[in-house]
Amino acid sequence: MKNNQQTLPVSGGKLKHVFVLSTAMLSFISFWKAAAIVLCDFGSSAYYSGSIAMNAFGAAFPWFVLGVMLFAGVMLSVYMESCLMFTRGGVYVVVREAMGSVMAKLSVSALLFDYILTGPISSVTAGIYLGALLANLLPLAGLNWPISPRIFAVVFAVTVTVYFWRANIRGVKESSDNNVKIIAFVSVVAVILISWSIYTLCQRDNIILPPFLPELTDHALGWTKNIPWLKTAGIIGFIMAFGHSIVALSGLETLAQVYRDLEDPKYPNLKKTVITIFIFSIIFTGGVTFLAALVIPAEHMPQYADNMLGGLAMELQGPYVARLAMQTLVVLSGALMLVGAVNTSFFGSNGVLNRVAEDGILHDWFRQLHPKYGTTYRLINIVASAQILTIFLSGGDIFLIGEAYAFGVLWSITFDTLSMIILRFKKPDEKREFRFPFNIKAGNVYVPIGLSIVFVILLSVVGMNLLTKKIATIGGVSFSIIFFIIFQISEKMNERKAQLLPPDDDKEEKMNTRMESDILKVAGELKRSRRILIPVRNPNSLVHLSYVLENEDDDDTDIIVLSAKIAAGLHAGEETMTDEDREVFRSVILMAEKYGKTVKPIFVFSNDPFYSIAQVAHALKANEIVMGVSGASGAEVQLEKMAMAWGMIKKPEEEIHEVTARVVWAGRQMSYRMR
Amino acid sequence: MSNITLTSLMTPGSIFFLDDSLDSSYGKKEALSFLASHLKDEVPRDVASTELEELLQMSGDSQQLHASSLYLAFAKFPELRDIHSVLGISRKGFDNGGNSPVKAVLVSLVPRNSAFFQKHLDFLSSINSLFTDEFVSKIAEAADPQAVYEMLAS
Repeated sequence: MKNNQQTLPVSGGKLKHVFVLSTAMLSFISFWKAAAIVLCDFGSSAYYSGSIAMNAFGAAFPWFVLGVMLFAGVMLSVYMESCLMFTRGGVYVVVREAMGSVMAKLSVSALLFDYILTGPISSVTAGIYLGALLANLLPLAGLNWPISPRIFAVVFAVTVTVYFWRANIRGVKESSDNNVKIIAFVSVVAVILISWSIYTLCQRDNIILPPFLPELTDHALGWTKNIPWLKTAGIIGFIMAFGHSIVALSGLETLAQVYRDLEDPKYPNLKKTVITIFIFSIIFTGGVTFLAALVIPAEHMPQYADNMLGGLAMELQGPYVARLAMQTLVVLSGALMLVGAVNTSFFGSNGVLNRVAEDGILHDWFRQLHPKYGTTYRLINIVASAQILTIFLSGGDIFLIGEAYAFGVLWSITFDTLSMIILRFKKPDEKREFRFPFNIKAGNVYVPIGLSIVFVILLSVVGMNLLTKKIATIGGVSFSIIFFIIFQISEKMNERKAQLLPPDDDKEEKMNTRMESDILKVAGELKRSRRILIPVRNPNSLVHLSYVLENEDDDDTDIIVLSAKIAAGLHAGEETMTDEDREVFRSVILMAEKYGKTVKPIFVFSNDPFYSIAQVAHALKANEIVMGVSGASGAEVQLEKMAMAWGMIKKPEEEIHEVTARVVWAGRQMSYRMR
Repeated sequence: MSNITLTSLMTPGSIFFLDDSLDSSYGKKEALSFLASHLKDEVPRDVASTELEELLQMSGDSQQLHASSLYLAFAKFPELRDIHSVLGISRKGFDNGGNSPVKAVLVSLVPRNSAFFQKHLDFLSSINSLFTDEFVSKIAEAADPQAVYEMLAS
């Protein structure tokens, strides 16, 4: 090793100029929180899916909403396989890996359509529920409520959208704690509503189950109205009805976004998340919609066409005041979930567009940062503007929005499913902790029979929806084409610019670094009983980090990742991290996300890495130092250098704790107890 | 704490003042050659002296940590049962490519076996703990090898 005689300014042997990395992605969440985040989006469809389905094909709607919720279990399993393959996944990444950039752009366009319409359908629905409640409450106070429900819904929806527009411009982050509270409250309301509904039904002499056969309206038939032979095939009607109910599946993509935040152990926690989401949605979206169909008399149903769960509350057996209280709880729970979904739509669409932008597919103009808040305000402005325009164009009609909404939902899950099938053949050796069931092993390929069946179902629904939902087809296809063209043009412009300008360092991962004047300040941030120090330098050589993340529990162990860069001729305060240095930490963060374990990355400049490792280990009272093997020198030489460095930092009068230095490489390790 | 101390490995006869033994223009190579010659009785018979010097220089150059006035070199042999060391002291110091001149050269022959590895590492650690720049300056000013030995023992 080169003997670099230049030294950093040191004071009393302390390490100066320590960079500590802080990024939101280094904190992980429990499966409860993950499920709550998904349900705040996915579960909110309970408030409008029944209404939209009923508007399309009449009284058979609860069967189909329940059927879609059962199908949601199937789709959750598809997402499970894709999440476990790609820690930072989602439709865009999965489709890009399977089918390439062009199809990925198309899928993202459909997904954006989904996200942009999530806001209007959620906020308008919340407005309608609130308007209906006010129409019931205000007369009790002697006030008339002359405002049309739809006008009120539009005003409310625009207000909510503007609120979240500003919040996202300012960079207000979603809180998973709030999501848990909302779901907990909704669960309590759901239990009361279900119990009371069952009681109401028990008071009735006869309970008539809803008819099973859908009666599609002319509007719901769309262009197929002019294709008589289609009506003779019974199954076609079921597919059409299923297609009109598919809006209940909106929000599943959130699972792919939230997976990277899921704590260790990833796979078991993902299973628990999926099961929780499935059970909740069956009971809430499926079950409560069904109870609404049973409890609300057929002759009253038209007045609750667009606020079915509010109608359910008002048709329960009991005093008016109690029913009004129940309606208030239903509206409150709905408003919380639906308004939360508006925020998710901003967050989700911004996230997807930033991910697309990483691949150079979006022109830098879109990714310009707000001068004050540092957010991608132009993307947020585009999303907000599109949402507000949609709200005004819809005039508060959730059926109009719902029809268009289904396009984005359906196409994104269809693209995802097809990609998972292709990846079985394209990447047969890729490690999969979970495979969608029903496969036939042929050589090293698990031929996906189950996935293929799901794809066929989705494709048939896609086909039917293209024919039956005129607005969705025209709007969705136009939107997708427009965005696809924007992506293509942006990509070409970026390619021309690539040679002229330095790379944009506004990467997806916000790597905030703070500089500490003394390593001991970092020591104060470590709270756990054990501490392991992991030196890293090469982003492609992290076997030792993987070893620690696999074997250690971050509940009782602080895992500190140290990058010590050799730098000569340094002057205090001039040291900065380069892109190469950040690349190391990006790999570290990706690995930490894969295992769902928290790490503390720190970066130091040094003229001798072993000396700085010893200094940091001593300062932080590390119990263990785990190094990767150096191809240049070998494990023995590394431990010899470590021993020498440890000797140099020891002071005769100081009681020094024992540290185990370990070198880990493929299947082997060598260790030394430093005293 | 290491079970091995320098004084258990050396006698005053293992300590040499290089300025007295070599010509004035000596450098690292000459120092290593001189010190290695005093270990030749411990070296396994089939290792030539030039090869030993090469091994010592390789290890010394690769093990050098940041600016230090100690040059530590060792060669490992499976036939050995214990560490054998000699210490060379340069009052004027010689240049080793860095800012600080090297004033102490410790040359050791070390057993190469896994059971001894922990002891070897403990030895390296305690050597580096002991031979601070301050200590090296002190021993460079010592009158004779006996004085150096007494400083090592204290």
